[in-house]
Parts: sequence; C-alpha cells; structure tokens
Amino acid sequence: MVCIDSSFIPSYSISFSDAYSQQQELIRLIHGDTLELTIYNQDSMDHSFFWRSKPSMSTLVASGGNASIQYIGTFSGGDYLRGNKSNDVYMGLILPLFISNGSKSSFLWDIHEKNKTFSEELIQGNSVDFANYDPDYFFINGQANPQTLNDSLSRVTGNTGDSILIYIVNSGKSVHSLHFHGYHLEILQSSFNNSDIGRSKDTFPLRAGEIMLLLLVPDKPGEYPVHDHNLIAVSGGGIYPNGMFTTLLIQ
Amino acid sequence: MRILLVLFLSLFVLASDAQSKVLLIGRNLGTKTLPDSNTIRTFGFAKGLNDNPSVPGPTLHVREGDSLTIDFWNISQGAGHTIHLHGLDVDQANDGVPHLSYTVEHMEHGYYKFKAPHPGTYLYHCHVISSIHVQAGMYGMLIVHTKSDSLKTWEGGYRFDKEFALLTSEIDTFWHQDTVLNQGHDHMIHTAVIPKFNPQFFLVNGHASRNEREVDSIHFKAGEKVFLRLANIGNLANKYHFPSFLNAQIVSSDGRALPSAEMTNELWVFPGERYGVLLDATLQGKDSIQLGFHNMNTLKEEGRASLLTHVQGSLGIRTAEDVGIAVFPNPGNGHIFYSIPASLSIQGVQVYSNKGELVFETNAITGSLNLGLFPKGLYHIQFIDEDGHSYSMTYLKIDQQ
Repeated sequence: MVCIDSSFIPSYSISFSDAYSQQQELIRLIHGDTLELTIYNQDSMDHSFFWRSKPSMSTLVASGGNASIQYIGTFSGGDYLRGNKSNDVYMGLILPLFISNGSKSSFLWDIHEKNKTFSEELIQGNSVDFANYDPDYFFINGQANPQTLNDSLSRVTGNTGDSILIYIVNSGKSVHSLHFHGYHLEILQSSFNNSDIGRSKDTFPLRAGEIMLLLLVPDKPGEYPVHDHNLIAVSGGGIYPNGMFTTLLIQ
Repeated sequence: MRILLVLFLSLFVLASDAQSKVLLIGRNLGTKTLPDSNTIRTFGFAKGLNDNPSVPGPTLHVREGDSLTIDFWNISQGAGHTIHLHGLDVDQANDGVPHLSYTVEHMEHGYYKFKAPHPGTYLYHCHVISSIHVQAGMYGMLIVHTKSDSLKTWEGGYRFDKEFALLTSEIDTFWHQDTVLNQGHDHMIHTAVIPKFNPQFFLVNGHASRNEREVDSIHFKAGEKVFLRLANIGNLANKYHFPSFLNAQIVSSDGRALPSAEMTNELWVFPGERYGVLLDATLQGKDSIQLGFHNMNTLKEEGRASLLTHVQGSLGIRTAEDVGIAVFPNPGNGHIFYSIPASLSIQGVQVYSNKGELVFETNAITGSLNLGLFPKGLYHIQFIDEDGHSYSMTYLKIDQQ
C-alpha cells in the first residue's frame, strides 16, 4: 500500500477485481440473503479463510486456485472474512460484510495502523514481536487524512434526522479510541462486550480484531471531525494530521 | 467570532443565573516542575491575566440547561489556539476545529458558546495541532451539574455526598522542547512534525507519578456515597483497579447514563473517554485505587499511579432489627406496620429509594407507613431517635396499590 507520504508498505488485499486494491471493500447483504463467495488466490502461497462469526469453519484456497464460501445473513450487523493465520488480518487479508434490513444508510470504517518494518518482515515470512509494536501510519479503509475525505465508503454524509449506521472493524493490532465531534452515537453491536449495547457515547474504543456498529441520528447540520483520541494516531509518517481522521458531513 | 484585543480588558463576571460567562487566557510560556526536579515548558489555560497557566487548566462548572459563553483570550507569544468542547456536541461554529470553525490568533479573543443539556463530565482542549498542544498542557475538565441538585448524578439519578474528579494524562519531556512547541503552522491545515511519543511521567490532575508513587488521595466516611468523575485526555489507556470494599459501580459514560449500572473492581478508560463511578463503602478502611497507564499499541503498562483511599469511621447505622424495631409485612404492598420498643424514643422516619433519594419522611410516629403510591422495588427505611441515631432496614414493595 502507498502511504500518505508516498512510502510503500507491503500488504495483501481482498478486492472485487484481480488487481491489488488498497481501498477497503465491503460486502453488503440484506437480512436473509444467501451469499456465494468465490475467492481466487493470486498469491504464491495457499491461504485459508473463515468468517469471524464462524471461526471453526475454514476454507482452503490453494495458490493459483479458487474456492467458494457460503454465508447466510441470519442477523443484522457486521461480520468479516479473514485469513486464518494470526497476522493475516494485520497484513490486509480481511473483507468486511454488513447485513442490514435495508432501511438505513451505512458506512464502513476499517481502522488500522502499520509499522513499515514489521510489514516488510512479515511479507518475507519472518516473525515479529508485536510486544514491541510501534506503528507509524494510521488508516481508515486504507486511506489517511485528507484522502479519507474522498472515500465514499467511509465519508459519512446525510441529513439532519437521518438514521445512519457506521460499521467499524479494527483490523490492526492497536486499540483505537474513536472520538466523534458534534454528536453522541448509540452502540448497536459490540463484539468485545455485549453489555455496551445501548450506550450513548462520543468516544468508542475498539480493540484489535473487534467490530462495532453505531447508530448516528444527527440533530444539527455541519461538518464534524472523527478521529482517534490517541492523538499520535492522527499522524502519518510523523506528520499531523495525516492519520486516522475524517469528518461527518451533515446537511 | 474573533475580536481584536482592546487596550482595557473588561472584568468577567461569573453570573449565577442561566446565562454564564467565563474568561480563559491561553498561554504558551507556562512551566511545570516534575518529580525529578526538572522544569519543562508548557502551554495552558489561566483564569486571569496575572495567573500562570495551569496543567490541567481550571475546571469549568455549569448547570444543566444553562448557557455558557467562554471568552477566550490568546496571549501566547505567537501561536493560534482554539477551544474544542469535547463531548458537548456543540455546533460547528463553536466546535473549535481550526479549519472548520475559527482560530483565535495571538492577541485576539473569541467566544465559544453552548447550552449544557446533559449533566456529566466533559473536557475542553485546544485543537490546533492537537497532538502537540494537548501534550503541551492546553486542556481541562468541564463539569455539567444537575440543575436542581448538584449532589445528584442527573435528574432522577443517584444521590451522592461527595465527588472527586480525576483527569489523567502523560508527559514526554522531549515534546516540551522549543523545537517541538514552536512549530509554525499554516492556517488551513495546521500540519506539523510530531516526534515519537515515549512518556516518562504519568499524571492525575496534573500531579506526576514516576511509577507507584501516590499522586493524590481521597477521603470520605463510611456510609457516604462518593461520585468519581474519571476522564482521560492522554494518549495511553487507563486501567483502574478499585479495592472491593469501595463497592464501585459504573453509572455513566461520556456524559450519559448507562442503560444499567455495573458493579466492577476494574475499569478501562481510553483516550477521550469519561466515566462516572459511584463508591459506596460501608466499612472503614485504607487502601489504594491503582491506576495503570497502558500503551495503546501493545497494552503494556508503561506507568502507574495510586490514589490513597481512606474511608473513615464505621457505618454508624445500626439495623432496626438490632434494636428490636419490627416492620411487617415485608415484602408487602406498601402498607407497612411497625412496632418500636418502649426504650427507644423515635422522632422521625425517613424512606430512601434504592438510588439513595429521600422519597418520604415524617415526624409522626403512628406505627404505620403508607408507600402504596410508590413504585415497587427496594426501599431503605430509617428510624431516627432523639439523639440523631439511625436504625435502618430494607423493605421490598412488590405490588402497586
């Protein structure tokens, strides 16, 4: 992937085309849909995948080959397909999926961070010690501020009074504490702690690998930032504010 | 709105009515002495022109429903500053983000206005190159009190006897060098180079700890209900451990009541979050609330602070059963009968809800009480004698009248 300062960081992607895509993709289902997903593995290594909600059901896709995975949208909320190795998600082998009843607009934030050296070691097949992890770049859907403002999947837009869903996945290794200006949002789904559901907050911590679904009902117009309140993560390559920062644009 | 500084400054008046105004001065030449006796340069807020900026800045207080205007004067030797009202959901014009509202430049002043709708714990901080200016010290706490009773968490909420506020942050002394603090910025984007962050000091209310050091203490009596306001303006996660005898209960977060309160001995507060925690120690004791500061990338503990918690005296409330007061039927439908030994001279009866709210009291000792119109649930009845001693019992109302 290409960082905001033009640095290159090796990364995998799961995309809807046969080319690498830094921009995060999202599968949208309506509640009750059945998905037949065919994965083509263009890497030189075999990979296995499973849905986060079904960790025991793994599907192997051989190098150069393909395999089909089925998913039935039996609940409304978020899930994701991931590579089965411990660092696969960190390296980009993640495909978020969102199941809705179709009545609300929805946006995806795949929040993550990268350390260039760690990624270079991992792509070579070497091990790294995440106990010493110190990332340099911070992303939403593979983009950093101000590029995040051009991503229609993450740039939340709407009107006062709308019901807007924001589906957040933390595909990184760090905890990110997302703070919203302008509004409080309600937690509809929280993979880390079910008892968080129903809370109205302005700051939402997400641990590595966790997902959260938020409901925003804006009560006033305006443009309001959302960013990691670990203010180091608002940077990219040591430059503020080229990190995990975007804005909500409400008419 | 920006207004150029005039020759004569007007005095501010903190009105006690629904329209309040507070003055804040932004400064870039504060100092802070750390536990190792070194002094660092800080930014900060002050309440008056002759005051040194403090880290954290002064805590602002406002009542629910009141309108507050912050008159912010930037007298900072060059840098622009703003005030972001964190968690207060203000409109864009007052949100304090430089390129989306406005920056108060050096030798100017501007107004930030809002109406406080929800009692709770909030923050304010500069949003110009926020990574640097917040680390430099430009932050403080803002508390919205319940309109009718400042000793309540919110209308219909929990009553308490004392409150304490704990605002955490960290200091990396490298960030306080002039090369970092004096960075110029463009007016539209405010980009800056920020160094790696490796804090050496861990602060609670501006008091720095260098591992294990007691940074503060809280004192109260057994039976007193204490409301803790926890807020994290730092870049590290806080992990609180409450001694069991404090009976800690999380009741709110980010200025909103939790759907249901949670008893806990452990609480994580991540950057930008705030929590309201009720303590209800019924026994005296002395212990410490332990607070770890954890790296957000590894969750490794980088620092620690402790707060001595001293609960004095015993509960002081004997039960009604201890002294022979009988209450029946219990559980019941609210029609209560009681008998009192002749040796006791009971002068009054008080009834509290399970939230600690006084819902009924009488000086008429008739041998009966009628709670028929109250909702079903747990109540605490206290019989008070002529010396002021209280004898309590728990009553369960199970049917509406």
